[in-house]
Amino acid sequence: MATLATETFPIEQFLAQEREKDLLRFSTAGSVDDGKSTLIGRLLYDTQSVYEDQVRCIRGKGSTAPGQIDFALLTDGLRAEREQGITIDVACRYFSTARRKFIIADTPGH
Amino acid sequence: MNPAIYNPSSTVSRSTPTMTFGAARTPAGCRLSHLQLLEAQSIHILREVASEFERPVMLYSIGKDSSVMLRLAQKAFYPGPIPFPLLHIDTGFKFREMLTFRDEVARSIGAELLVWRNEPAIRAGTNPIKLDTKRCCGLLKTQALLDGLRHYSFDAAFGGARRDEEKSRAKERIYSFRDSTGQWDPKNQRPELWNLYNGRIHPGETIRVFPLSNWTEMDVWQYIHEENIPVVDLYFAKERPMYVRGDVLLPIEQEFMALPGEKPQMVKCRLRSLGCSPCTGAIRSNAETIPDIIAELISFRSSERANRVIDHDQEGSMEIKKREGYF
Repeated sequence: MATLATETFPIEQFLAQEREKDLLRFSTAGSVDDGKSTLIGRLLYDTQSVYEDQVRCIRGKGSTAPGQIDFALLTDGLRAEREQGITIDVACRYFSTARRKFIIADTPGH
Repeated sequence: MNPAIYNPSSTVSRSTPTMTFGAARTPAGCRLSHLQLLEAQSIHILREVASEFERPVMLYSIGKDSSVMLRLAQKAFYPGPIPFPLLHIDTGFKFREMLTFRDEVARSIGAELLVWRNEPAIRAGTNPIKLDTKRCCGLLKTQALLDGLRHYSFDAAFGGARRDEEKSRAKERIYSFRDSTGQWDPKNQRPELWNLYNGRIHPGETIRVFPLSNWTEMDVWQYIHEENIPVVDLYFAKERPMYVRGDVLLPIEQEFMALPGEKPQMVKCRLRSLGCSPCTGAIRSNAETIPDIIAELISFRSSERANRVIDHDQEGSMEIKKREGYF
């Protein structure tokens, strides 16, 4: 883990690459239980934008099959949302890929 | 000169609030980087609030996010002074280095610094061991904050909270309304469309404003690097005496935190997030400079608030604290 943090890390090169990135804002739209939050949770997970302790918190909870992560719990940040299994209010989440930074608004079903 | 390459009138100046969807849509020949876009949005928010509210204040917690927010406030009103005071809620458990840094910063930029403490609770010896962390935070932070805001009749308080810090913070608006008792109702939030902010409040109500809402931890460190913003030395790795308990490194600032017979050990470590010393763990690290920290950030697998005991004292911990008036 500490191996990256050496003086050989090309910070200027990394920052230059970051400066080139676009910022894309987007939002989900869909009916109740279409899987909007689950999809976003999955995107966050796959782009490694969630940390291990956050995944540990939701493991074994939620409404998916046993042993499977309920990805919607990553974005449903309010207790009432997790209890009822629905998104009540908009959440903004952030992730980035090699080319772009994203701000995504996770919306309630409508 | 080709106006597509250089045209002063079309150049997006730092004073123009830019809210665009999709890639930054800017005049020809000018492209804002991700950080410049975030900066422009934050400055827009700071100016909106300063002009709309009677008595705004900036909650200054001395951490990295506060340091960035303070720089943005300087830029937003430059060359004028920052048109509102800074308020620090001192729990009496802040690291000594933090307090020295706080006073130095306020003096060097000529800002008005107010400090508020819940003196009765501090005199009564409130600490997280005697009470639990929930009640300790409730008295020394939340109550102190609410009392401090009421004492000075502030109607808008800037905070450096970011949505990516914690999942209930991801639910926050930029203008976060609080009722007359300072409480947040997450199920009753106003719509916030593009860069339009509705600042109307009833007498007795206040708002918290989060200009850094859309910043991530990485953005904050990159900005600190690019802008050369001073931060507290505790963020950088150094040999420090710590109580070592498995993976947990506990600072030795407060003697009551020691277990019977426990001796501190010297460990090369740093703090990733700054809070009260009894409830903030350090991490083992070799990151001595900001580039080191940025490199380390890429390799992290746990979140920045994992070291904050107060976030884990109950299910939905941050949400409950926020509802009660925590920032």
